[in-house]
Amino acid sequence: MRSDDLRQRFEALETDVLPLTGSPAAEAIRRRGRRRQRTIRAAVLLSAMLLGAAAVRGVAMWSAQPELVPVGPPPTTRPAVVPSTTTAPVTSTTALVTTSPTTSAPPRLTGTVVLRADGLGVAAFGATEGDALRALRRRLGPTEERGSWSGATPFGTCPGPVRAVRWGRLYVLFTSGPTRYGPDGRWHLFAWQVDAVQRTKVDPQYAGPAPPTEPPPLRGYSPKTAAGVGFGSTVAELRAAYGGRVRITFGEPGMIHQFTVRRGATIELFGSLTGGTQGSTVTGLAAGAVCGE
Amino acid sequence: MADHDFDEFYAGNYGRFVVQLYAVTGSLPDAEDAVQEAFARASVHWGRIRAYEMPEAWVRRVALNVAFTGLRRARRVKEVLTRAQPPPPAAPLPVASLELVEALGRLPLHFRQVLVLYYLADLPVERVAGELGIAVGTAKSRLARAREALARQLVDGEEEVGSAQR
Repeated sequence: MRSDDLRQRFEALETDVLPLTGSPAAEAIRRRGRRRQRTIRAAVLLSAMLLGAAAVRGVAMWSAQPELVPVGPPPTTRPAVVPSTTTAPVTSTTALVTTSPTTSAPPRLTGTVVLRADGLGVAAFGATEGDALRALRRRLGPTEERGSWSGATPFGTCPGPVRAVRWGRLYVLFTSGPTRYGPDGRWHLFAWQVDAVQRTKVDPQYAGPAPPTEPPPLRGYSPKTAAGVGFGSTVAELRAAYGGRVRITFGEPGMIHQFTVRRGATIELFGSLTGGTQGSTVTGLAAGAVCGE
Repeated sequence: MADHDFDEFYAGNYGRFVVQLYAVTGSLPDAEDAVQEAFARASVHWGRIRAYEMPEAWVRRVALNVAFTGLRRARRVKEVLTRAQPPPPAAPLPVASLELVEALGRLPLHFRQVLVLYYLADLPVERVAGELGIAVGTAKSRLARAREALARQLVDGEEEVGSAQR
C-alpha cells in the first residue's frame, strides 16, 4: 500500500469522525480547568498545613536526636521517578518531618564523589546508612541539610520512611524499606539525586490561596559521572558520553523532557532536561530505586 | 483577550485533536475526554502556553498522556464495575474507517503515534521527531516501519473479510 493511499484513508477517517465530535462550550472547558486547579490548590494547602504541624514536631525530634536512627514501617520500591525543575507538591497525609541545616558554617569539601549507576563510589547502593554517611562525610565534609519523611516525599511518593542528606545539589537518599539494594528494616543507601531546586525547602507557614512559592534553586557542590555528565551538561554532551544508550522523552511527570541511560533493559541513570535539542541542558539526574510520583 | 485567544484556539483544534486521539486510542469517548482534559489544563496556563511556538503540540502531548495514564486507571475501575455488561458500541463509522482504526489498534503505541502525527496532524517528519523527542532519522525509520505494519494489518483485514465472504 502506497503512502498516498494511506494518507487518503486517514483523510477519510478525519472526514468521517469530525461530525461526531461535539465540542463542549469553551467556558465549560475553562470551568473544568479552574475546578482542577482548585482541587490541586486544596491538596497543596492541606499538605502544607500537615507539613507545618509535623515540622514543629520534627524539629524537636531532630534536636533530641543528633544522629540518624531508623524508625517506621518499610516502603516498597518504585523505581524511575524523574527529578524535574518543577516543584513536587507534597501530598502526603502521613506524618512528615523536614529539617533545615543547623550548621551555619559552609561545608568543608575535602574531596568529591563520582555519580555511578551503583552508588557514589565510596558508598554503594545497599551500604548501611551509618557506613555510607561516614564515608561520604569523610569525603565531602558535613551535610548542608537533612530531612526525614513518611509517605509522600519531595522526591516522590514513597510508601515508607525516607531520609535525605544534601551537599550542594547532591541529595543522598536512605530508606529502611525493602529495595533491590537492601532488606526490610535496614536503613540503607538506595538512591542519589542531583537537583536544580531545594526540594526539602517547603514553607511550613504557608496558608494562602495561591500555591506555595517555588523552592529556591540549589547551588554549590555538584558532582558528575565518570563520563563527565552532571548538572548543566548539554544533550550533546550526554549523547557523546553515552551514545545510543541515551533516550529522551517528553511527558509526565511535570510535562518536561526527560532522559534515561540504559544498559539493556536496566535504567542506569535518568533525569530531566530543559528541552529536547542538542543544546538543552540537564536540570537533574538520579540513579537507584527512587520513589514514584 | 486571553480568553478570546483560547476560545479561538479551542474551537479551531478540538475536533482535529479528537480525531487524532481516537486514531491512537481506538475509543471516541476516551479521545474526547482526554482532549477536553488537555484543553482544560491549557486554559489554566494559557497565558504561558499561548507564547509557545506550537501550543497545539503541548495540548496534543498532554491529551496523549492523559489518555494513557489517567484514563487507563479510570478504565480499569470501570471495567471492574461493568464487567457483566456488553462493551459499548463502536463509533458509527463507515467500514473503511473502522478497519483503519482497528488496524491501528493492533500496532504498538509508538507506531500509532508516528502515523497519526504524520498523516492526521499533517506534520513534517522533523516536527514529528520534535514532538516525540526522537532524532529525525529515528522518526523516518519508525514511520517507514509503522507504514509497513499498518499496510500489512489492512491487507490481512481485507483478506479475512474476503475469506469470510467466500
